[in-house]
Amino acid sequence: MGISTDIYDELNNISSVLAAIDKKNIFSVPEGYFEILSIDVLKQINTGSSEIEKSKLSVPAGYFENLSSSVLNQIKSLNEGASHELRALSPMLYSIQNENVFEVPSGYFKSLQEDILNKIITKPAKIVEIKKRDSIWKYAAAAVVTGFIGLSALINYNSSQPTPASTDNEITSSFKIAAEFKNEHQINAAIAMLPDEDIISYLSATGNDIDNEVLSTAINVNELPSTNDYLIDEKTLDIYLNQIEQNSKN
Amino acid sequence: MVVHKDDKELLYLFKNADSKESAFTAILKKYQEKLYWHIRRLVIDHDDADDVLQNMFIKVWKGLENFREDSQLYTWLYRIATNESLTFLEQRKKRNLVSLDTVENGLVNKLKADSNFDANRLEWKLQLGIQQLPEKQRIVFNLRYYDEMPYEEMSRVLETSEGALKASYHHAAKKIEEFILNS
Repeated sequence: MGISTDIYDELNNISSVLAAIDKKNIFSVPEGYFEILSIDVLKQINTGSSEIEKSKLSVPAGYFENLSSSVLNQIKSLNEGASHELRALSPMLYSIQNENVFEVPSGYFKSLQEDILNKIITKPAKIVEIKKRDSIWKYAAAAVVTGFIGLSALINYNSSQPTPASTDNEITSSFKIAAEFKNEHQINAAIAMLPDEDIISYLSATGNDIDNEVLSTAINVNELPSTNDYLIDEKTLDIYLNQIEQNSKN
Repeated sequence: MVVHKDDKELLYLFKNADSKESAFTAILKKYQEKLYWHIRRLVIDHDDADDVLQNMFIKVWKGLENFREDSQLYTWLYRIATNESLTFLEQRKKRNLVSLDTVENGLVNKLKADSNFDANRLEWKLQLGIQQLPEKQRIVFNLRYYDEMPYEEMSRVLETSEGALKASYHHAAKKIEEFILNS
């Protein structure tokens, strides 16, 4: 097998070593391979084309009846195919395919459902009835909910004490007084007898906890702004609080 | 001596239902050896080359109806043969990646497994040197060195500029030379 002049010259310019090598074909083919190649190819083509022709002309009997199960089987075989593929690619990986190296605490899956349900279904909060006629009562009721200490302090304050309860004796006294109330109704009744000014003074003298409690009792959860509302308008919270304030005055 | 018909005539006959098969056989016989050796030099093994060649001719049968005669049949066939060989090697590469083997090592091993292999003979050293080349350079070198394909045609087969092909051939030849001298 020679080499044409221009290609030889080109190669000789690049590498005289390569140009000096006799261009021989080192590969061999089975005897008669090229004689039968065209027959083999045509045989394959004809087999394929005859199948195409058949499918154009008719549908096999029961084709549509079995179509759904056939599709499902194919889907199933696809899943199996991945397993076969892995086995072919790497028997080692295939053999360890279903081994799990991770552990879970004992009984985890048994309690999982219950744990999730407990988180999803929250227990209903205790509802404190608030009279709408006077917003002061709303704050007073909140004080009751906050705790008896607040209430006793309120009562002490109402008894013309110069400062809110702050010593141990005064606190003990507050508890004693608070203990006299048997139920929420009695507490509400006692608060109703307090002058508005006293309650306002008390609330001014106590911390934010009570304000928060007031808010939580005054808020109707169903009317809360959504997350999107906050994103759309940064004044959403201000507007909402103003509405609450407005409602409580009405 | 076998006298091959002109490509245009063969294409005309292929489009006629009565002469389709005979025209295809004629095309196949005209190009089978050139294409076989092109494929064989890329995939090394005869059985692999046979699979690739038969698959490519089945694709040629399906695609020849729509073949645009503004491009040469010869160029088109080489392009299909090259793509089919690369696809074959790519598939093998994916398989071999898992077994931590490389296609290049596989091809070298196949060469060495040949019953005629002789590490001291230059032509075998040359083949081993070709296998060290990156895929594209290997194709360019084979097409130029063995098939003596003009750069203009090679440019159409590989859809690469003639300048880039010349550079590839130059680098390939230099690398093979270095391999032979150091082996």
